[in-house]
Amino acid sequence: MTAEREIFRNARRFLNLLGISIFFALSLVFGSVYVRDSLKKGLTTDQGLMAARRETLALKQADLVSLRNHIGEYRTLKKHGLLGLAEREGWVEQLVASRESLAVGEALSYTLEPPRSLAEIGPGAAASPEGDQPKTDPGDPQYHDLIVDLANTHEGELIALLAHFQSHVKGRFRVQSCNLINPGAKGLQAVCTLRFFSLAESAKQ
Amino acid sequence: MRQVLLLTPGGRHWWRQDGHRWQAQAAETDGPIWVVTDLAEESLAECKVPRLFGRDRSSFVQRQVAGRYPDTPFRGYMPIQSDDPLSALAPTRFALFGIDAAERINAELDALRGDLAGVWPISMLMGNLAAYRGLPPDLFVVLPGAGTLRIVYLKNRTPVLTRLTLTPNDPRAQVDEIVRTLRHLENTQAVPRDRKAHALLFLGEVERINPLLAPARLLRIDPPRKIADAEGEWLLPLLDLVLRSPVGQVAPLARRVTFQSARVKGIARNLAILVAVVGILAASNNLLGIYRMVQQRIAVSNGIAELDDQIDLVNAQVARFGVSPETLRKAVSLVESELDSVPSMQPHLQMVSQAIGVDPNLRVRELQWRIIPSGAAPCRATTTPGVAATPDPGTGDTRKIEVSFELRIPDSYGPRDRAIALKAVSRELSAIDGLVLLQDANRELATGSLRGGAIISGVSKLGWCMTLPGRVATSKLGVEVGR
Repeated sequence: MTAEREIFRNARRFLNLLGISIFFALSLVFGSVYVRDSLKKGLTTDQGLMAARRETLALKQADLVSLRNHIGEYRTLKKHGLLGLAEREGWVEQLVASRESLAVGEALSYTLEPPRSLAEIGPGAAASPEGDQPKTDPGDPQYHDLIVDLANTHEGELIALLAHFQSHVKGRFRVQSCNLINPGAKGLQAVCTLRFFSLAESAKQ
Repeated sequence: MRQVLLLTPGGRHWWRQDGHRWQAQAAETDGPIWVVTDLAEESLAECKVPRLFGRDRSSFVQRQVAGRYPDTPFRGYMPIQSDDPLSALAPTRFALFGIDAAERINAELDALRGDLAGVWPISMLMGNLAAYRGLPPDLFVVLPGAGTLRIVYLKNRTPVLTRLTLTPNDPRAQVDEIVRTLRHLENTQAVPRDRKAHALLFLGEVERINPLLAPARLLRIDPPRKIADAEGEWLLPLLDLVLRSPVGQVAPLARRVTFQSARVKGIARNLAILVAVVGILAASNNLLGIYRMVQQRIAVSNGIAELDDQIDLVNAQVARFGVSPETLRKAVSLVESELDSVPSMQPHLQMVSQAIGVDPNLRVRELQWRIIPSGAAPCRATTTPGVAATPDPGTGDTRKIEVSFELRIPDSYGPRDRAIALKAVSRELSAIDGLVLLQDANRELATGSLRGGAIISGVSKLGWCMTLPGRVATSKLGVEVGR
């Protein structure tokens, strides 16, 4: 055995200690850098989560405030038929009943068009590319156009009929358009579109 | 306890360092041993090698040393300093040194009980001492002993010649011996033969020798300040020097295994401690940062858990209403935007009625009232482009109410009466706040053809078309619906 090898063998324990110490120091330095960076990323993520939670809480609290402020109004709207399943048959039945009750005009005809999503005619629909159907959600508000054609009536009678209908029908509508044409001795012909709105109640809370 | 064994022709001498003081000892004590030889068998030689690099050069020089000192393992070499910058990288001149007294030295070393640190010829120690930067590079170093005189000559701060002579402690004899050495150097052309005085570092009593130096062309140099307080005992600085294990050690490594092992152990242990401490110090900032971040993460996690609890609480409160907030928002928004904010037809009919009421003979032939959806052109696009998309300045909404009607003028009206009636109607309409008159029968009459007759007047159309704001202000829904 050479002298160098013997020296190395004698000092092997301390050289091993030196190696371990170097390994320990390097591990400590680079490991601490790695752990620090990992923790930093984790902390950033956690802080992001916390910010998101705060935002969620703020939204939920705003929802709660909104619910407290508008629950009465909501229940009224539900009672008036804006929410839930649209009672389309009831609308036309009430229209006929209102006309008979007020004895307005001579001939009434109506067409209740199929429901359509309000999103189809909203601002989003206008911005959608040509040819694409706008994206609609089952929870989106819907509208139902009721076209009423009433012959031999007068403006005042028409206004009274619409007011009576509005106060008795279970639904909320607005007059979308009205054409008063063909004035004659017995009155004129009124062709009006009444737009009903409905909103399905979401199962989600 | 560190001790030095000095081997001289006269015998062996033990010295032990006690603190900073040296004490002569009768025998070996515990501790490592540094051996210094002051024997006549010490010699120096100069050797030139080709410009070699790495192991080639060391192997070559090793062979040269072995050739020069074949009978002794106590040998070594060192490069001779040169002004050539390349020599620092690959020196070509070496000083070889060795002690041709292997038998005696081996016997002395075998008798030692302690660990051998190494064996140094005293010539090399003197050479190291005199290589001090403040001294001349070419220098005689002379150390008088008990009836002996050690002379070492340094050329360019490297020892190239050493002699041990049996010279009595007489200044004249000592100077003669130095001069004899100088002649030898001149004869071998190691020193130029000129009239220049040669520098001499005399490590002994100088008072008696001083007057003899000038005639011999020798110039005594004062020793370096760091060894000037040797108080006449010039051996002690050499002993101090050997404890630092300088260049010039000649013992084979096999003789020094135990000492070198201990030394390597000490170095390794100290390095291990140093590296660990440096590592901890270098990582301390990171560790501190890690500690702080862990604390922050715990705080953030607690915060998230607390927020989750609050969210759950709010969710439970929301659930008690049995209504989805989203549905509520949509419902409230729907009512505001599509129902409550839309003006009714009745006031507009009254408005038209008042406008044509300026002339009791006028009658409406046809009237249309409609809500124009956003983006649609009013009055069947008969008007100026861009009117449809103009948002309402008050609400920003583009929804409009379009009202159009046609009048029936009595047949009895002449052109002037008709113009007066139309002008009056237009004036009434123009005075209404927010109304934009897009089609005006009065203007068309003024700029168009003026026609008449029984048939034409009965069928001519006199129409107006206008837009009105499509939204009435409502504020009861507040900010929640604006989300």
